[in-house]
Amino acid sequence: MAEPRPSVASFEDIPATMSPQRGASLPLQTVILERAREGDRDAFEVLVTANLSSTFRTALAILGSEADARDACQEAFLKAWRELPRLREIGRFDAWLGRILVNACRSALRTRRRRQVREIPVDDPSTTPLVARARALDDRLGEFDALQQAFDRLSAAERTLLVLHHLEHRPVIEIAGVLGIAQGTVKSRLYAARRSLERALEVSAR
Amino acid sequence: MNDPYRSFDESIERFLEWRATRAEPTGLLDRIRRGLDLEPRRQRQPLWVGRVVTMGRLAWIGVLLALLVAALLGASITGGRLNLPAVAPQAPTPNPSAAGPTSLGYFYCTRSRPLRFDSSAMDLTGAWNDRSELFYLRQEGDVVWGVGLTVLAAPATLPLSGGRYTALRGTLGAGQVVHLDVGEVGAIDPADNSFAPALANGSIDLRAERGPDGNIQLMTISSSGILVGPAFKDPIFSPCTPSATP
Repeated sequence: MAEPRPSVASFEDIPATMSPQRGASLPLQTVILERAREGDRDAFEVLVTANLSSTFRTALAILGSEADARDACQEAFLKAWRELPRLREIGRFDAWLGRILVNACRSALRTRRRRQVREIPVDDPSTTPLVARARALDDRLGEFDALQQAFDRLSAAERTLLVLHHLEHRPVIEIAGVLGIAQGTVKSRLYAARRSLERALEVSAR
Repeated sequence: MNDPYRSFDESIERFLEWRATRAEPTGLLDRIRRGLDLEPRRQRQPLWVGRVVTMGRLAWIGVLLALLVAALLGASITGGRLNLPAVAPQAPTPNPSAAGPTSLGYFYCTRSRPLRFDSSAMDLTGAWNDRSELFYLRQEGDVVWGVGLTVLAAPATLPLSGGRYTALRGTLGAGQVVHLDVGEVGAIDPADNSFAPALANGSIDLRAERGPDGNIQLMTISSSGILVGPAFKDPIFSPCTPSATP
């Protein structure tokens, strides 16, 4: 028999100012960050736990592969643990972690491309143009499949920009912070990335 | 009229949402923990050491300029010779006021404390965690009392207010059921105005039982009164090993 749930009020009853949103209580996050920076493993695990879902989501959107996303997340958090003592502005932790993750994703994409070049045999029947075209035709049956193909044609930088803007809904100033580029550059590259995706969609549709 | 650009943007958003939610990070935390286990242990450094090491180039230039200006201002020129004051540059010391709320202390439980369930020798003394608050219980015979403190144990509970605490008192009765009266004692942090009126005032019945892993857990079977706030979010309390900021 299922245990009866207690009739207690829930976390949602807390006033909005105290809701458990990331970054809503900066002083507390600062305390944990300070502890983690000083080498407190437990405090760092609190940070990992708090950021794991969003980090994995971002990595999965950029990379498209669950295994690669897991690798990238692990690499990013381990690097964050090593580099945390060198983080100068604790208030910029989110952007800093975002940058580490983006670099891990770029590295994963580079590795994957090298792996693909090495591992796929030249005479693999599944790579013949006819089979590939037939498969592409099947994939286009769904809107997401077509976008999936097109998105995977984009460069790591283009994917990252689109994910930060369209999935995470980060403002341009934050994206600039994560990528370490000027706001104007973010805007122009974002426009270019959308154009690239449109072109890739057109190529897929042919 | 349909805006094609907006429509395209919406398509991208829907697609990325779909792409990003096709899998869950199940087991990833454990994998990261194992990775952290392999990392060399970091020594804790005094705060000022960390600050000095992590100072940027501009900050270093600023410090050097300040030292130079201080030396020039403090120097006295006698007989054409420049006598610098015999004061060695000192390492920066931490500013206590900049430490902020660390002085209040925060508690968190990220590690479980497996405790085998034994109905013949029940001892609830120790730290317990219900994912949102840390409870220190003390059992003497069949009398149980304790205190509940803010705890950071799960992402859903981050961040929390600082310094709320509740008092608990009750008895361990038949069927390993412990009845606890709960009252919010107050807030350690005077700035914690959101909880100004006492929010916890009631009672809770917990049953000590064997969990799926054979270890003891406290399952909430009923409650009454007002139990609002980060505490009492989860019906299951598990033994944990607490950590605390100074």
